Amino acid sequence: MNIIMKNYLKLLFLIVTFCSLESCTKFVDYNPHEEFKITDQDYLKSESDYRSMVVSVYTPLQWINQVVPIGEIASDNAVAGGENASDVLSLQQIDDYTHNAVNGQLTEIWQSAYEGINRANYINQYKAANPAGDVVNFAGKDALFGETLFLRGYYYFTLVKMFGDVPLFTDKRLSLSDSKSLKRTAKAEVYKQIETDLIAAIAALPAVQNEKGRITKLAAQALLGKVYLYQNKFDLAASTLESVITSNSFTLVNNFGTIFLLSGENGSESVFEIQYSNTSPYYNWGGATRGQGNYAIQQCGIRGINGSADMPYAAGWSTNLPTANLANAYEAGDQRKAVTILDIEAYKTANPSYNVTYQVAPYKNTGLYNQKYLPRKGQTSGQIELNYLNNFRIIRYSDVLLMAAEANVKAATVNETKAKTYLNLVRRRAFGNNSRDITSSGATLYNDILNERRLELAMEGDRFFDLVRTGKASATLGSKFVVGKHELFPIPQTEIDISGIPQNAGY
Amino acid sequence: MVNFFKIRGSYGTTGNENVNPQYVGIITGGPSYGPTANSNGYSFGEVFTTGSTIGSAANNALRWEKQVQSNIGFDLTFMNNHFTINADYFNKTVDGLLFTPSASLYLGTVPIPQANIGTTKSSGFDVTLNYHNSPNKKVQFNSSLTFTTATNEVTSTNSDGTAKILGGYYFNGQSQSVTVFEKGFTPGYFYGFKTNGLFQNAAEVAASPKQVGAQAGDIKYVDMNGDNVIDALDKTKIGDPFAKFTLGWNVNVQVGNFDFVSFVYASVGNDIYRAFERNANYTNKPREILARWTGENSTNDARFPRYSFVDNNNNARVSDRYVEDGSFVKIKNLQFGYSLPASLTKKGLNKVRFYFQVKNAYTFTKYTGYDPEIPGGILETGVDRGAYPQPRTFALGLDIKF
Repeated sequence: MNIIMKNYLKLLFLIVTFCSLESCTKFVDYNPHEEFKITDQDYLKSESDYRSMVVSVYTPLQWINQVVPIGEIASDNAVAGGENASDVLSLQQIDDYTHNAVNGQLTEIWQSAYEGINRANYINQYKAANPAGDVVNFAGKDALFGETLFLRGYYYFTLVKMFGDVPLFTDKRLSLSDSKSLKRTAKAEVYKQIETDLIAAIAALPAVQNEKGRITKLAAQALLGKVYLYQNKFDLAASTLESVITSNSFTLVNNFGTIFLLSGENGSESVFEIQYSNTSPYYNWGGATRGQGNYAIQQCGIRGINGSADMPYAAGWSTNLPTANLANAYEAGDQRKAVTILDIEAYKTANPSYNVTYQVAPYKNTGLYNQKYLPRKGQTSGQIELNYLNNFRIIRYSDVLLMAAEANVKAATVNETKAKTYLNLVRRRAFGNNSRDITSSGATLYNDILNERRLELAMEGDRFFDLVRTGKASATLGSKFVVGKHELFPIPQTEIDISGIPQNAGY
Repeated sequence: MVNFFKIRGSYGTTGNENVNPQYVGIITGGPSYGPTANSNGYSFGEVFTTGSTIGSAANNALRWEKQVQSNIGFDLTFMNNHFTINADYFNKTVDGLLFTPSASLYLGTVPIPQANIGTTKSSGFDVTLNYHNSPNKKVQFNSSLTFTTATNEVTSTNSDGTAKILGGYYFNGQSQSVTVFEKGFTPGYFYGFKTNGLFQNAAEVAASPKQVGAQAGDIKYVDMNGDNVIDALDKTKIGDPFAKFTLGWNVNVQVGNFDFVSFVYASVGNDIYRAFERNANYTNKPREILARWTGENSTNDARFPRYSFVDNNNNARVSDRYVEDGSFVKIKNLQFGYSLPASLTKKGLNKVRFYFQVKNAYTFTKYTGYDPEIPGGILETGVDRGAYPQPRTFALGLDIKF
């Protein structure tokens, strides 16, 4: 009897143990409020919460920093440079056309653009009601959301022009359960969404913003014009860009060189600039492009440059060096040449009082430097390499004029007169008079416009994408450019491996 | 003959909830120094404006990790208690392994919350043979040999079984990933390209499956899927970081006032991935580089392609050129001691012992890196990023017991 009882007790004990094990499926309740954490349920309760969150939709614009150097290095305008063949390998391979799906810079751009999209989606998801279900209304709410639509459009545009078909989602910020769930969406569909976002942004945004760098209606129109142009929708591009021009909101800066100085930031020609500053110093090498500074500035600097106190430049890493081919493309008398390209030896000779010393670029030296974005003394802070304040001039008014010229030449109703008017506005500024006006027509005019784009916008990140969209990449870049492959960059291998989406052709 | 015999069996299950609390949190303020540098804020003009964004995520499907371990074995003592055998067959499954999963990059830069990534199973034998002898009061001899062998396998991953969790990241000019956690394989097996020697001449390049950028002297990769193109689809299993078996050998001898202790450890059949090699200018190279490809038929060893910093063929990609057999035998501990006779120790001192000890005295291995014994957890096992080797230490010591 006793033994039987004991066995029953043991059995009972086992049963109790097993039952308690089963109940271990849930975690101990954790309340983040006890640790004074803010959760999604607590947020978006006021106008300032909404405004603050929209500011952070802008943030990843700064992270996709390397799109600009890549747009030049992949083209005939610039070489990767750097210290040696194994330095800045991501850019080096793009320069040599040996890039593959394992590429740190491309991965960074991909992931950063998607973070921007997720941020835009999140705020749009809670436009009508916040996560707690409350409605928060305030003056200017629609205009504020116009900014997020522009930004989402810009992030998708960056992705689509670099990678072609990309996963498209607009309904929400994705969570872990959405991992591996998306397919690539056809390029045309992605462009359609970009157009939808930009059209909605144009309707919501004001023409002028108090804060510099805030997205305006005109910036959205200019971007939409560019997006049309990338799809060869020339009629729409012409009419959209026309409205930017006829708004008379922008004027070309007379002195081309001042556009790229600190004093020229967000100037009369500025349609859309990605803003950087040195007022919030950043020290994180683990996320070199994730602070408020422009990393590409340090990159293109002249190695070890030194000189007198009034010599303006600071030292850098000699990457993204302009080519002789670009330098030779400028005609005599074009003030843009010296602004775009710094010939260091010529500069040294011309300015003996500066006592310039520097280290010759150790790899792929061209003797030329990216003057538009060279690091300048006193314009960084904290970890000096990471905090240059220079904005990226993404869309300038001259770009709008040249896009409009191109669209008018290619539109169903060709308007060459208008095209030449816009083109020559840009040329007159470059040469200081009308002596170099273009008078050509037809295909010659079209090519003149494209050539003008190269000269006007060199080192600003457009060249490679212009060559691809106009079908001139192969002829210009030679046999290293494989048709059917190099129009697009490879999808990051990590994304292929994890998400199981197909790679671009040829990679 | 048999002095003692026992059959044992056990079954146990334990839970593990060792994860940080998860919630969807808002971060404010600006720059981030977190693992993904998920900053917020922006500059309007030259004025920095702080912002706010989602800074952490929660995984609603999270549950406890459950380990179920069972073993069956026996203890046997025989030959006048001189020999003891402890033998076990063990079987351990970890269900809902807690780990930070690899998630689609299009989720953005909010740190990925930990999740139950899958189930692993490991089973094998563990046998210890112990010999003890003490012919007289002054001599004690003790030695034991432990043999362990196990197979490890991922039996499921969370989704439809096609999920791949990547790890073993290292940088060789680009950030590369070498290990994968995938159903049907060893957890954290090495994943990359198989090599098949070097291209000796241009004709061989032309006759081989299309491999972009290849020229004579470059590594020839194997076209695993037979589509006549070398691309990411040809990546396959190139190594297994787990040992086929391990051995541990202890010796403990005491003769009069002298004593001696040693411990030798051996690991056989584990692969190591040399993740510390980088094809960079201005860095030292291993001397094996002298045997590199220098012309037709100079060598066909895929480890040593032609030397060039312009790597059009991407010889630096993850491949078995970096995989080595990491088997080793290591003398981990040697200790000689001498205790003063009790007659010499003064009042109040129980024992005075001098000893000389060598730790990590010697490693027998063919591995060319620093140290084949590499620390690492899930997805990190066998990935040698040039970890600082365990030092060989010599120690002279004095034990005094009061």
